[in-house]
Amino acid sequence: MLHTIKMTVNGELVKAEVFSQMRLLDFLREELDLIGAKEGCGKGECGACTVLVDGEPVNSCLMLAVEADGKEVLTVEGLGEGDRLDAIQQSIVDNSALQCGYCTPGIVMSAKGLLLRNTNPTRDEVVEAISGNLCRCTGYARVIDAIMQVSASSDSQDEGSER
Amino acid sequence: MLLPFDYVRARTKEDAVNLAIEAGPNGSFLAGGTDLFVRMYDRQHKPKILIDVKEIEGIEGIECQNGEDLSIGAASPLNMLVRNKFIRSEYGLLAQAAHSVGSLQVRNRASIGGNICNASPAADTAPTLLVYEAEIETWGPKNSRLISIGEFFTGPGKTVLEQGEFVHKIRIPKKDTESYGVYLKLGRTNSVDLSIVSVACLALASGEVRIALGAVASTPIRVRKAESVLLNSKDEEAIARAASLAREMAVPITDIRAGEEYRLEMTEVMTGNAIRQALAGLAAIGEVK
Amino acid sequence: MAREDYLGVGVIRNDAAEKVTGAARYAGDLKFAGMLYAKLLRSKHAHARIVRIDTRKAQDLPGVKAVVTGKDFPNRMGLYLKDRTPYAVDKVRYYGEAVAGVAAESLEIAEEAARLIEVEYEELPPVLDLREAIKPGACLVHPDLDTYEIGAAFFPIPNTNISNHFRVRKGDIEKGFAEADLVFEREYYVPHIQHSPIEPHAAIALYDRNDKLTIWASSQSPFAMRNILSHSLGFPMNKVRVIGPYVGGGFGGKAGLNVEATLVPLAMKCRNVPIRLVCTREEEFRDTFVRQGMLCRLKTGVKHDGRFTAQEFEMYWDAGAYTEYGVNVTRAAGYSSSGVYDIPNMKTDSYCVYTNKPVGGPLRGFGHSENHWAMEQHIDQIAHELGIDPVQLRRINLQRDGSTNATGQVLRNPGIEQCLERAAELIGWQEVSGPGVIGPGVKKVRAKGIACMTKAPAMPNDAASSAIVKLNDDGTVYLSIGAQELGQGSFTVLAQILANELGVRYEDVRVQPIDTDYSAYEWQTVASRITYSCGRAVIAAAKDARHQVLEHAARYFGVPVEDIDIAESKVFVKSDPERCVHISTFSLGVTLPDFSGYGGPVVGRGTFIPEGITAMNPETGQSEKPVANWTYGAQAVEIELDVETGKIDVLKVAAVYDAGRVINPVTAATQVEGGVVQGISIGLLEEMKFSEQGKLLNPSYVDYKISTAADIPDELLVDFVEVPQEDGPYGARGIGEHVMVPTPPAIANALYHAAGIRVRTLPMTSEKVYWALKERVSASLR
Repeated sequence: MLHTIKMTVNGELVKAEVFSQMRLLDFLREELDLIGAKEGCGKGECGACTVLVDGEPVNSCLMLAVEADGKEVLTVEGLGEGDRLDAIQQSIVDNSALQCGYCTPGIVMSAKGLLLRNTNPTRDEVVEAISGNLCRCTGYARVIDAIMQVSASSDSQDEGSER
Repeated sequence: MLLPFDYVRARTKEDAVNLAIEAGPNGSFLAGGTDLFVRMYDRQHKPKILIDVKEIEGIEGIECQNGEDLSIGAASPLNMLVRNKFIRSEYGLLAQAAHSVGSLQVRNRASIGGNICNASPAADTAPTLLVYEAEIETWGPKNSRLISIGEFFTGPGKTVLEQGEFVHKIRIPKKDTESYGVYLKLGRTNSVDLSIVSVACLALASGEVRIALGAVASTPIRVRKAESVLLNSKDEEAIARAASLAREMAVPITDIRAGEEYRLEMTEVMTGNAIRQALAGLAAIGEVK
Repeated sequence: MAREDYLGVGVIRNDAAEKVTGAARYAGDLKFAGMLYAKLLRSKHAHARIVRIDTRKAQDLPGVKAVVTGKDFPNRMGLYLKDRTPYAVDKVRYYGEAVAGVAAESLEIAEEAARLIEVEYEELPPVLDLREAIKPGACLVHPDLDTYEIGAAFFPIPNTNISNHFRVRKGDIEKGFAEADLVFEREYYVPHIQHSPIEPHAAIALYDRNDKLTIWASSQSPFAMRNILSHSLGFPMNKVRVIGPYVGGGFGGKAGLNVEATLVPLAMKCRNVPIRLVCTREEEFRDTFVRQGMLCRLKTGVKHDGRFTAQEFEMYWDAGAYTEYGVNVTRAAGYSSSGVYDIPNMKTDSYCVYTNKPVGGPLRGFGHSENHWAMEQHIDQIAHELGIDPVQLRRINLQRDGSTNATGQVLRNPGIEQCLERAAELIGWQEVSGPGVIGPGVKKVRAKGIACMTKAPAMPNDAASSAIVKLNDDGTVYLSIGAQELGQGSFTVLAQILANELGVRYEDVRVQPIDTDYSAYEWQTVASRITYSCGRAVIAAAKDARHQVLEHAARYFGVPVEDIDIAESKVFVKSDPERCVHISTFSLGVTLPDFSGYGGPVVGRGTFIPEGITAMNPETGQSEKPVANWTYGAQAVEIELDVETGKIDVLKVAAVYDAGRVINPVTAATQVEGGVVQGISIGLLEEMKFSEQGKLLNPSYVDYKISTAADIPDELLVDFVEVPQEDGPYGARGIGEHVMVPTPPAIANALYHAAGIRVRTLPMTSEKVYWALKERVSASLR
């Protein structure tokens, strides 16, 4: 069954026809060529496909494109402005908090979701926010540190107040 | 990749039931989809029609007022419960249990209704709903009915829901006494895991202590025999006796996550700990007040 | 004059910006117009004869472009032993083996077509039990083993399931045991585990009108892949091209040639159309390389004073259906079987055994992780039984300058003693002796454990590297290598080395993505060998390029070459530093004052092959230099044991490695951090579980758990020792795999110190620990 859907993706209005069974992940990757969200397991266990839907992190492999109709979707490609990285991205770069990078877009979006809701999370809250994002390379500690540093500096830089 | 199906959105309760009846065994209700899509991805379940219930009036959201029953829309995502201030303060056990499900991403989609309708013996919210003595408000071909949570589950993946019937709301009776609840879950990892054993324990100021177990029987179970020991005494001996009775009532299986014997041992250990922590928590409330 | 502008500097990774923005493309992100999608039909039997395959219905399905089976590509292939075909031929040998492949216009159609393929099987008795598999008269997984092509370093036993028998015979084993005051003997086991990179295997294949096969693959080994394909297809190498985008984690699982081969016959049938295959997570768990299981018996003779006199080590590897790569795992475990100790008399037998299980292959630190699980617990146990502190017993037996290892190689300045002492210091080691005892009512107990390790690159003696350096018009630099960036930071470190040697800015170096048609040759990105081996090639290439720039500059400035230097992309006269121009002046040659040209574009070339490695004696495994180098390390852990549930939490880890020379302290530390957590995960959680029919029961993250962010130690202390590697770049040697080797035995040793129990089979699950605790309590009551 075909559905006409309209959603905002990274600030731009997108209108498309999709089949019922098309997952949001496939829609982003195959239709919009937004390949930042990755498929790691297809079952919502690894978090590599994490994007924000109405500001909340979700596994885009467990959501239909048609379910995102009328919603606001933010992917890793929608972060930062021009050449300027989002503070989370910059902190991950500065902290060497990535290796193979395959889980990184998902982790960035989980962190973004957290900091949008909570500009000053505790370490436990950061761990909670990313424990649905499996990473086989880094051992996580630097990732947690990188997110903590953003939140620590967010008060002065007024990051995370964009919505 | 998912196999082709048709997605339809139910606008009203009646709409949902009609669509479901029309679809027959080819239809499945869709709420958060975090379990449904996994089974479809694995080709264990091949519905031809998915009926999205999320836009039905009242199926998402939490109605809560002091002195009234707590009413939770079945399609409310678990994080809505976790973050709800009223639930956190008055039904803290439910917040704990909801919080222990999957990952944050999953909890943003997974609904409380889905958690119980999938009827996994390890469903995290089920033991909690058992000790809160929740009622399940459904809507179906025979209109609305209210089912006690204790009668809801009939086996792994099985409930009393009939063809075309779905859960609309979950009602938790109003609090008429102070209480303190503890949810203990033993998994393999420290987060994002299914239970090997889980225990919900609710200590009430009335003196009653309610206990329910997950992942140790074909359904989540309330262990009233164990509870009864604690009616008259709450000393260490009674707690140990209650824990031992809980173990006797558990009928776990060996599966890939743990062996039957280990589950039995952990049922006893964790029941004892849950009781102790719940009683201590209740006592602390008393002291504060 | 050797500059050190970029040595020991934690520069920002050169792949970070691309990866953090989602711009980095991995093989599965690539898309081509008209691309087809592949799906494989896989066996539902562990061992069966294929009686008949009927693909007609699949072929007739609209949208299907090709269907292939084993007969379409029956040539055997493999890295060390040619025992494998992309699709099962005549027989399936494990549950999951590819039987047929489909290429179709969509994945949906491909899957439906695969479902329509009819296969009739005649079941054969599966060989699933290692002990049964080695018995005389056992059902053979490969009856034709003796006809297979195999590398000279491997020793199959015809008419058995043993595809390699590696032997060490050092000193006089009988005399050694006769001299011993005490003999300790124990069995240990490691289960099958999975690499579990977050990116599943993905590849795209295209067979074009020029008869050229091009494969884009998530691969650690583009050149080895080209080599294996060229041999098995009979194609000249200039008709096989492998392109390697970023790899989303490898850990050995993406070495050699693997699922990519299944695309080849499909591509040959769909000429000029690219076909994409992306493994599902289930396939990733089961149908790519796995780490093979290993059962071993370790026997050690020791004097009262703690000195080892003899060691006998028997290892049986549950190597799976094909052992093309697995044979080298068993070899590596054999030649490293002394661990970090000096043992005068040794007998080691390492057997690679075919079973009807998924295909065993290389996994980070292969051979060594498994044998150290046994050796490092064994010595700890011996220490307790002798009443000697485990660190002290290690000190007594450690390899030192002039010691020999299992192969009889005389070692020069092994860094293990410094590593051990530093790890003990960082964890706050206090002498212990005897098992821990848990008092009544105690619910949580903490204890420390330690383990050592050593590992050599497990690779052919002639595994070589090369590098090409090209200066662009503007003075930016291209580095062409065949070493892959898997996340370990190789592109960063190699760019640092180049910047350092050539004198250019690190930011101006761009490492080119790998393409076997254009990139400089590299054997494989495995064995922790890239910094060491490719690093040397980069130094050589940079020196070559630098020499050309200096020549150009000498002409330009009219001074001797010796009076020119380059720093931060500026070329200047040393005796008159005011005379200074940007390096771009010389990129394409130089224009002299009379406007005539000189030189030409700067292109530097460099190669490296480790020299002097000789074959081990086939009977005794002895060799003066059997491997390129040895890296040593030690890890100490502090754990908390929940006595009620058996759950272990690792609170603190101290990890110290002899890196020879740390080129980038940040990427080096991140390797250790990730490796330690992977080690904890393997130690506590990971195990592939099989049904009695050989079906993998947990091919998903639901029931194959790996550590999450909530499962890491509170504190992780990383330090390095720097005993230079003679032939390493600036003295560096590899550490990438080593860092997860000692973690599980260190935890096991801490568990013994905590509670007096040993779990000799990985993983140390709560359930296993709980029953061991229970057993100890009841034993103490008896």
